[in-house]
Amino acid sequence: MGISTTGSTIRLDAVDFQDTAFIVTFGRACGGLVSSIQEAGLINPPVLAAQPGKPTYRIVCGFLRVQALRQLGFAEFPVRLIQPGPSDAEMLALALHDNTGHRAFNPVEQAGAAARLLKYLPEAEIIAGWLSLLGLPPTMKALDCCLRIEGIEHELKQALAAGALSVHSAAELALLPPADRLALYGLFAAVHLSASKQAEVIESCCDIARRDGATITRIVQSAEIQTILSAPNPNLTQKGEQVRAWLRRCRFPRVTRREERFEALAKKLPHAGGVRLLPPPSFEGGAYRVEISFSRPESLAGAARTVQALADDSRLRELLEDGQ
Amino acid sequence: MTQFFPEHIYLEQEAADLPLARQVIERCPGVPVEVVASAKELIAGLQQQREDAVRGKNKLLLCCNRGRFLDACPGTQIYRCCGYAVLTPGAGCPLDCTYCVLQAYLNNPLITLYANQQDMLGELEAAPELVSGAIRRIGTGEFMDSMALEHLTDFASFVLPFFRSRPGLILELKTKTVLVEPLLKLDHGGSYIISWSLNTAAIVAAEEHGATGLAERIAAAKQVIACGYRVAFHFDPMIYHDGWEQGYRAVVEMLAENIPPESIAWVSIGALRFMPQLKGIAQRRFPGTRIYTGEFLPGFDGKMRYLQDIRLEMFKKMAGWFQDLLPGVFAYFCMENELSWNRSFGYFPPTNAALKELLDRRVKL
Repeated sequence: MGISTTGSTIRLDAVDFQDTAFIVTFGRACGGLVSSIQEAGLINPPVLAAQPGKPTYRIVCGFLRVQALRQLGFAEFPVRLIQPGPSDAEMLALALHDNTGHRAFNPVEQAGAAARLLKYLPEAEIIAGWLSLLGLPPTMKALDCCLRIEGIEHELKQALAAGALSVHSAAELALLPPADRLALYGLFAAVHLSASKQAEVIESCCDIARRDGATITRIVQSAEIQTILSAPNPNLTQKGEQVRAWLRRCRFPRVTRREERFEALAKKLPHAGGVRLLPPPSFEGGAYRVEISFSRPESLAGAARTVQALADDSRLRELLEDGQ
Repeated sequence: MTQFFPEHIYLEQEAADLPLARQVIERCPGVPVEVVASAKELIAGLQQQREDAVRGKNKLLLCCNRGRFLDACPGTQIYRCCGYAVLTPGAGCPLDCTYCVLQAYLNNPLITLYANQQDMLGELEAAPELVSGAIRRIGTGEFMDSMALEHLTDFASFVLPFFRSRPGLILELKTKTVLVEPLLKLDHGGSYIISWSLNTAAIVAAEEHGATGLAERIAAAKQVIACGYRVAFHFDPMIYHDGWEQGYRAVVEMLAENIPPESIAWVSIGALRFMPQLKGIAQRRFPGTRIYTGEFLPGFDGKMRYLQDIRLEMFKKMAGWFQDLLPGVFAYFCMENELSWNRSFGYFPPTNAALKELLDRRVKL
């Protein structure tokens, strides 16, 4: 590529901070750099380019360093100025290479980089030449995921960069209408859910909305969910579980009724002495199981008596034939 | 449905001089033909493109099959499987059903025809399971619609001499089309069973894009029966939807009113089941479909299945309607468990071999 630069000094107020064409940095503080510059000075000058026809400069490499200098109140600072000639595409490539060499991109930065590259390069070239450098698999699916994430709101990007929202969830949310996306994000901000549980909640809401011809916003704003969220007592993790349980009942009404019937009937049957009656996985087929926990021969013998009592109990037939 | 003609043909270099490739190209005048060195590389390249761009149902690939043409139906031991054999003269289908498993199953987005038909015949001739009689039923409807490309391929007449030379072996041609004209003039000798997938009118209209209506399918069945063929029907996938009960009953009534029971070789029944990844793919392709919002749970084969209670509700009704309206017609489940069999049909074939035997006996009738 070979972009040539020359050393120079420019005034900080000549930097155009609005021009983010080459800046992919997201969700990173410059506090460490502020301390470093205070202690050791600016070791690597940022790379800037003059804006054609304007007295201002665009940041190509070193956005956080320029931010740190601004925080420290520098009026002017040393830079490497790009000589006229390189295209925007070449300068973007320089900016990305400057980062790929020494740090990993977070998902928002990956998305921003891919979206910016798309202004200059065909998709196939980005997939083959750039995604691996950005830390992504070289596939159309990965590029599409980036482009979806690039379109989400700033607050969702912040949550994604901070790890509060998973990449999968962010990409799924990106497919929803903005109101629904923000409603779900608001729900995630109000409870604690792991990445897999976030994905489950998104899928449940999408399925219920599709099935019932409702909006996700309406589901999230339902009285049941709002009651859970506004309750003072449970912690955020417990509230998350309550939301999941309510959504599951809505999404799988027959399955949950079946589970509840099983629990109710199983409770009435003999179950002492470490004996536990288990339904078929997914209630699929008719093979029920008995689990026995014991630590001494006597407790196993006791469990065997419970199993016999279970087999003799007429209510067992009712349970076994439920749903058939 | 109208006859399918592709908008673009990819022709693998190695297949260029094969008779089927030449015939298909001749029958698609004006369709651009792009010769490619390797189908494998073409498909790999397409996989890098956006799904919507390549799965357009309008591109045809003519290439050579380097794998097997004849294989066992991809069933499992966990659910009762009928021991069907699958012949694969191609893969992919111009119809576009929202529940089609091929959306997730095939990594090749193109409608594909294998032009090395002589290799297929050679494999059939040499297959030990055919020589020994272990395989009695073969179908081509697993990875494609058996009749949707017949006007381009003449497949049925091409393989007829082989099947006619093997008494006791039948080929089942399974379709959702009414493109049976090429079959009507064949001297088939009972070697073929023509079958239709059936569903409720609501599902046909909403979920079977490009397929013909129910009445037309039944009319086509009557046409082939008039030419001496036996027929079969597949209520698979049954879908639990508003009005399912009236809908499925109406279809069974249509059969009872129009099809002589003695012409029906068998009827299969199965409920919608799918690999988990199909849901996302299908819902992206068909944003309006609601069929994946049913109460599905993971089955023992890793596929998503309706809660057993829901399946039983549908199966028991269906079995009862057949008993009432088409007594004597042999109905069986495709990939179901003991509970479904016992509660619906009152018996359970103890092994896969036992179910296979029940169906193989129907071949000889």
